[in-house]
Amino acid sequence: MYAYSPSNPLSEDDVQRIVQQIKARTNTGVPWTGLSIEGAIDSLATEYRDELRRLCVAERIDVLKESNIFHGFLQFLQALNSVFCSYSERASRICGPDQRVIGDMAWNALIHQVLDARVLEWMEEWLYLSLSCVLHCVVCQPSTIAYLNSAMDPGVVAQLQKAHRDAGAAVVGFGDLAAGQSLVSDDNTESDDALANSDPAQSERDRLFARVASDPRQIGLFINDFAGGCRLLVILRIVSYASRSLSGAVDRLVDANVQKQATRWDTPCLDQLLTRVRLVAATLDALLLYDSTAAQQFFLGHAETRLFAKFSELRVSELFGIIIDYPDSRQAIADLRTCVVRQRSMRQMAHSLRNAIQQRLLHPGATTSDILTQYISAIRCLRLLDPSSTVLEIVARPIRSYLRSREDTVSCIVQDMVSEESELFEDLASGHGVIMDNGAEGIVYDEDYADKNWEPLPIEAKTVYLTAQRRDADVLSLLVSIYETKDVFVQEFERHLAQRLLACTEYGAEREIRQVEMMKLRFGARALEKCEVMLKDVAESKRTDQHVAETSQEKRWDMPLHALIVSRQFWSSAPREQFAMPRAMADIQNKYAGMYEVLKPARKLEWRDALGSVALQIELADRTVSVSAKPSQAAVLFALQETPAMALAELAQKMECSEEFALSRVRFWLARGIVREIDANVFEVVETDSSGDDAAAASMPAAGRGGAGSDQDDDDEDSGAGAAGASNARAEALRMHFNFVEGMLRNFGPLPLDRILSMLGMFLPGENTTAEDLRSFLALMAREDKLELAGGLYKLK
Amino acid sequence: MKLTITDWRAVAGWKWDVPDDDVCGICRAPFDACCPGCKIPGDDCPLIWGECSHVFHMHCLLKWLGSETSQQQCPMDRRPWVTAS
Amino acid sequence: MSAPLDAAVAKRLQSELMSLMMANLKGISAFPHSDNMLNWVGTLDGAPGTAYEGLSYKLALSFPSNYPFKAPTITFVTPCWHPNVDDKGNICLDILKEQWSAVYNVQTILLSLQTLLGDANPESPLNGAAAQLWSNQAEYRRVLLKHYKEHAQQ
Repeated sequence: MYAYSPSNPLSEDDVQRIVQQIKARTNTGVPWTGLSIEGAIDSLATEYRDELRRLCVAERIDVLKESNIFHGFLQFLQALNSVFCSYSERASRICGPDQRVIGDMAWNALIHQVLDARVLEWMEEWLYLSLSCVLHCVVCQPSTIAYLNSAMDPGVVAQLQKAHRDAGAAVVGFGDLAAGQSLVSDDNTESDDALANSDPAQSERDRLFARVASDPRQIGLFINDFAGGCRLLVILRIVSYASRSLSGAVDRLVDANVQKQATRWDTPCLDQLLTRVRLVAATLDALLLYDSTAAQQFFLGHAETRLFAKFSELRVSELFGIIIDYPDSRQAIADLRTCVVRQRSMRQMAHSLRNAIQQRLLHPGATTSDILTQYISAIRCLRLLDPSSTVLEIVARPIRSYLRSREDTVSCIVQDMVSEESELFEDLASGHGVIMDNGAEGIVYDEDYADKNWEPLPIEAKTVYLTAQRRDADVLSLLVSIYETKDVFVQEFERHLAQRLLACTEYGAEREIRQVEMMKLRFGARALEKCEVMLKDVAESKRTDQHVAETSQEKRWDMPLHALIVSRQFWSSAPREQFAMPRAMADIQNKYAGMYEVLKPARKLEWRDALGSVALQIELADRTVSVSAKPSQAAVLFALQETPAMALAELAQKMECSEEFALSRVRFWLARGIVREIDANVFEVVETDSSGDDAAAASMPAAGRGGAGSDQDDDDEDSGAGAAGASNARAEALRMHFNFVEGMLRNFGPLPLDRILSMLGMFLPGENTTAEDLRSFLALMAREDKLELAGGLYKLK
Repeated sequence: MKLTITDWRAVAGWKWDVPDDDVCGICRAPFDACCPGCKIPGDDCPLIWGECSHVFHMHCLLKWLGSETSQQQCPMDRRPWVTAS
Repeated sequence: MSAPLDAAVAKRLQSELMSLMMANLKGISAFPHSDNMLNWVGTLDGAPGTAYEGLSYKLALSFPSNYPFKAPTITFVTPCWHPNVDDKGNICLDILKEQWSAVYNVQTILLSLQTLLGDANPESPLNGAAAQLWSNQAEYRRVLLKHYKEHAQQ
């Protein structure tokens, strides 16, 4: 009986003896106790374990790795292989052909024990390097593939060709590449080398790449070596054990290639990425798994999945930037759409984008104009990305409510709308039809509200319904629908139009006429009636002015005045300035008015002296100056004309205005060196400019009627009156509300809150109280003992 | 100092020669606005004065005079309507 | 839903409503129905110092589509015992018929009606009994209150 123990390794004779014994035993059919096959194998394994361990010693690994990752690993594998061959031969003699699996299993276990994390790390490194190089080869030297076919091991070529067929029709096989077709576009060659990982093997990779790039024979050698290494991995049974390293290498490659596409939104890249990744994965599949039919295309599937996931992640995280960059980033959108559809992650993307927008766009630091621009970009982008508009709706909600909270939103939109270079103007001019007041309609978030006129969206968007009208609405309609009614836009446009018309010096308003026509197309002719009257006023004023000019010529009168005559009810009320027009100026006005009254009997003119612009020629002792000023500013000079030096109080009295007002108007002339302060609040005309500084009194360009000679300090009309006026208006509004409520209750009896609210909305113009506000208001009335609430109904007391 | 006005762009509002802020008794719209049937005030929607010195939008008064109940009387004082010359 | 309202009539009725609300007069009130601006409900209180002092009546005001060129139709919804009011609530008042003028409005109508209550016209009666009793104001009031209690009080 042979005494077996682990510390007593088997010698060659032992092995022979055991083999004979087993043979003898099996022939006689008598069970044999003693050293079993498993025992023998164990003992064998122990012997070899030590040897393998010696090969895998840390220092040895480090040295090999240090000198050359690629070839060092091959050397390492080869060393392992020779140990394996020796073991294999002896084990097969012990086990015989029928029990081979025992020997195999023992070797597997051995490998498990021997190959530690250090080796696996190295293996991953080696794979990553090799796969990158495979990709690089194809990218750099597609025209030398023909050489490869002849120079490479035919077995390897066959494997690779099969692999590339398996990778999909989009990938051209190695054989086909001989025709000169490039697998990937050439402009990516640089980026391979420029991959700036903090990769310790960076320099080796660069050397390897450089070597293969310089000489096609090097490619052949490289691929043969790599294929050989893969074959060894299979033989040595390392593949299944080291699956993490293998996947790790593939993952790293995928990630690196995806990262290269960060912020490159100007070209589509998904197809290319897919091709490259498939190529690499298919190669690995072919070289490692060629004889295990079940695991075929393992890496292919794995790599594709990871590619879509990582690319998706990248682009979704960049979506905010993509929107800002639109339309330069259009190409990125098509790619993203492919990904997101495949990953079925529209909704996550929508929520992630919404969060990004809330954090990075909707805050006090962003101007309303910026937010609007980005909203419009988002509309266009997201409609490309998701034609059903679900994502847009999810993302737009916070934008819209934030825009609603900004005061200048309507005026920004209107500004954009009427400027002829903008896209919104195109929408305005398009034949899309009249925009309806639909408020927040067109979208519901609950299945209960959906009826057959609403289209449910794809499965992903189970609870979001959009009307077809909403989905197809153009950008302008969407913007208008931020608010309940389009009235706010019309009013803002009226304000804008008035401003522009007042600013024209001649009576030409072609541009404004065009704008009004456009507005009519989208907002309806009825809404624009006020604007039509404004335009008519301008045309009418021109005719009037011509008549006045002719009459003045006949009478040989000097008539520098040209009036824009407005229909009072249709233009917003003008600011009021309290002062008396000096005789010289009033005379001119009266002449004009007189001629007007002859032309238009039964009508009178009321001058709006806060507006307008007077071009004055000022002849002083040593110079003549031309200045454009507001009428009230001109009035100051006329007052000073009679009395060249005046105290403020006297001036105010003469102009019949407050001292503050007079002072603010004087400041205009002080700034221009026409008037100076000789004593506290005493002013005189600067007849001779001793300072020699003519620049101060340089002529100002003629301004329109809207705001001539406006300076900072001119606009300090008393804001005190403004505040008092506002609170009076509020008190007035409250009183009206109460009268209405009282009228309702007196005539219709007790009413519930919602009836009161709806009737107020119907009959009180400009009413926009919310239910909550109304409730508090009625509670206040109840406290003042004017009405009471009983059984949900409000009643007069 | 000698001042000369070389050019003056001014703004004025026009109004009918009636007391400020008065409304037409028939349509309740301000005189300076137009009657309910018109869009543009002014020459296209003028006022009409009676010898009794009452004034209305011309369109409103004509509509009134055209109805049966009017009996061709001024709506204010029921005197037979005569347009002032 | 009622037929679309002529813009002119709507505008005029709306402005009448605003004036009523702003004026806020004692004893008279009116408000339009929410589903049809041509129909209003009115409330009239008897003037102090008249037989109708302390009594309150509801009215129905119906405006024609060519208002104000044609008079509105006013009827008492609350049964009203008065020489010039019949048992269906119809009112005999000249300004509501041939003496109508386009410058009249809800306010003037309601004020006239309030005056009518205190100052009946027994010459053209729709309610003979009331007309006959008019000269005896004390007795009139007694009968009136009885009638009010029986028919009008809610």
